[in-house]
Amino acid sequence: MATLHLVSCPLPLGSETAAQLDAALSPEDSVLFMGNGIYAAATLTLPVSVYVLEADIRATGLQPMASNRVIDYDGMVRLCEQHERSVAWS
Amino acid sequence: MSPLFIQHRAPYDGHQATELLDALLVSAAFGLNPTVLFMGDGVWQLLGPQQPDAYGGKSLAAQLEALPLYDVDNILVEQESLEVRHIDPEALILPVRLVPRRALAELLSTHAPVVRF
Repeated sequence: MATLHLVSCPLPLGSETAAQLDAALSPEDSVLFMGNGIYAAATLTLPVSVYVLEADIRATGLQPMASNRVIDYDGMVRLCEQHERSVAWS
Repeated sequence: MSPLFIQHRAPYDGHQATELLDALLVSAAFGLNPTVLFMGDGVWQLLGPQQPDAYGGKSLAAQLEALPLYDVDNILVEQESLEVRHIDPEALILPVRLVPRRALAELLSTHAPVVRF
């Protein structure tokens, strides 16, 4: 089963953490951008399902990319249930 | 599966490094055979000796050196994190196993839960 990556830290392009996240992804994984990590949804292209938290989209005025799925907290809970483990990138 | 604890912060950058170490030791005490991975700024924790009297705290390195005594034998370090910081693996306070960044996905998928904060 797959891993859910909860990204709430800023991930500047070319940063070490961004490279580590990229290396840590398996094809079936999901990434949820939230909190301070929300802006990375606009700059990073990842080869897995990408979600963004609705409350943070609304707070920041950020336009999600077409490939980002906007979910609310209930959706976040469902994502956690559907994955074998979560990893907090915070 | 066994737990994986990820140390990614410098030793005295807040209290998370100590708290994660505490959780790791509890996990080992309960016989869960945890693995600990040092990556990013977490590799700085493995430099010694550390004398943080100016910070008023205990040496994290001194606590880490006791990991083998607590049966924590799976001590991993991300290779690229050492290289970019010009740290010689021989200079670390503990014997460690180096893992390349490309092994991260496999490492995650073979452990549960993964504790990183």
